[in-house]
Amino acid sequence: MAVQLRRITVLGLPVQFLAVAIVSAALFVYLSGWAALVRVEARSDSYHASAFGEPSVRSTSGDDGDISATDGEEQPWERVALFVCPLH
Amino acid sequence: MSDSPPTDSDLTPPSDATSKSVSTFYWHYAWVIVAIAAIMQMVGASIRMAFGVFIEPLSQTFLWDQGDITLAYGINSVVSAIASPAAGWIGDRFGARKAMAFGSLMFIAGMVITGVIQELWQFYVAFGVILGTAQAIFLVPLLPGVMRWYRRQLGWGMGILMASWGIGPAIAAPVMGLMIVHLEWQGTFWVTAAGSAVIMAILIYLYKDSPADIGADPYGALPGESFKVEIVIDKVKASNFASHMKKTSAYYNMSSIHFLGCVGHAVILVYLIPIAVQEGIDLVAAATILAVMAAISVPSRFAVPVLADKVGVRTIMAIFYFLQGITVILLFWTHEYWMFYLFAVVFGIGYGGESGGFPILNRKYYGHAPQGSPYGFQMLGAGLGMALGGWIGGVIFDITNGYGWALVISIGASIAGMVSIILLEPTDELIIPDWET
Repeated sequence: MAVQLRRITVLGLPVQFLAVAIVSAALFVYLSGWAALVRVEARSDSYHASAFGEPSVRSTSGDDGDISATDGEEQPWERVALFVCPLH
Repeated sequence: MSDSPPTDSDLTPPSDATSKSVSTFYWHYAWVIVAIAAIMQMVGASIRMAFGVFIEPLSQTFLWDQGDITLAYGINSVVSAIASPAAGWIGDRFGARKAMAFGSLMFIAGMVITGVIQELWQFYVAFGVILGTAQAIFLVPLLPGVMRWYRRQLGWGMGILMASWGIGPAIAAPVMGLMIVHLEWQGTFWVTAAGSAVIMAILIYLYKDSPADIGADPYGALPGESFKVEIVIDKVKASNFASHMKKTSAYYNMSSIHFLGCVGHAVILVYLIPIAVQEGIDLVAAATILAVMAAISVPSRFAVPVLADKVGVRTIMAIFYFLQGITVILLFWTHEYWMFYLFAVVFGIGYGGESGGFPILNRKYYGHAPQGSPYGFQMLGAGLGMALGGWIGGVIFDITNGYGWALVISIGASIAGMVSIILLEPTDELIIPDWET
């Protein structure tokens, strides 16, 4: 089995190497997306708390607020992370 | 740059010289060169290895998330990895001494600037980019620089150098922990910069690029032996070998294995102190835990290359990867001060042996062929692994308010590395013996 595994290549790259690369990249993308989402939600929550009863803050995007209310402060890396990660 | 430390057989003397003998140990300036390189490594690498000491103070000063702070560590590792090939070229082109001088100036500048940062991006530039580049420039040329001083017995010189990777953090972490307590973190960077400047200036003054600079022969040279031909890299030969080597699975797999090993211990190196502090242990005491771990790793660093050569490199590497991974489980139940020390001891054994087998593995697979390319690619894997491992714990802490999943990833990476080692080709014969034909 080990011999067979060593012989399997995809695009000229050994499957062992590819597995490590793909899993690591997926982990990086997933955690980045998760971290970005948590930060955005945390800011959203804090806006809600501080702006309770102040509709002008809550309705900056024209809807109920939530995450879109914090778009103005969303950092570029957060936008990229949320765009790249299909699960967040 | 060169890859693994050559053995005596790499430097085959003329036939008339082989019949003569020379002492294994005797006084020679080569040992001064080894000491200089070891101290340079300790000074240069320790600030990165003791990074965990700075996480809490930075977090308290600027109210930055741990993930934001440790991203600087990740940038430092990535920049250092990417800069390594260029650093090797600088060392070859201008000599290790000039490379060390240039790198040291950058290092000191980076340390001073890090001490005055106010914004997160400034921290990334100072600690991540400037210090990462500086460390590559003055650390990478050290190994080939030392090699020029040895005709034989190079293994001992290399062993000392590898051990210094463990001794540096063992000293640096508690010292910097103490300095932070008394001088704040800014003062720690500035005082370290000043101290490093003095130490580096003396070392660079004493350093010589080759034995010819002081009219001496290389260490281990036999009487009458000719060594007009220095250790040089034949560019055509190296290029030919590299094209063959890149078609082998081992070239890629060794890099991904080094990556996994570094992910496994980077999580611990960076987050052990914050984990201990979170358990109520003060910063200086927590730093000594890291110091114990680094000290325990030193014998492993010495022993693994020897054992790998005698017992079997894949077996020994797999065992040490397993030890590195399995011992992290202890951290889930580690809350008391003595338990952290116990963890430091058992983890230090495995961690110390993680990288020592790679030079032997390279030699077993590729023989005496020029191996700058596989070494460079492995170092790239190692650097990226250190970056990912250093970053991952902070991000997970920010998300979950704990380190549990980071520890799981550390364990998984080390065990995956062990499995990958087991799946590597047998080492009983060269992979590409006929690459020159």
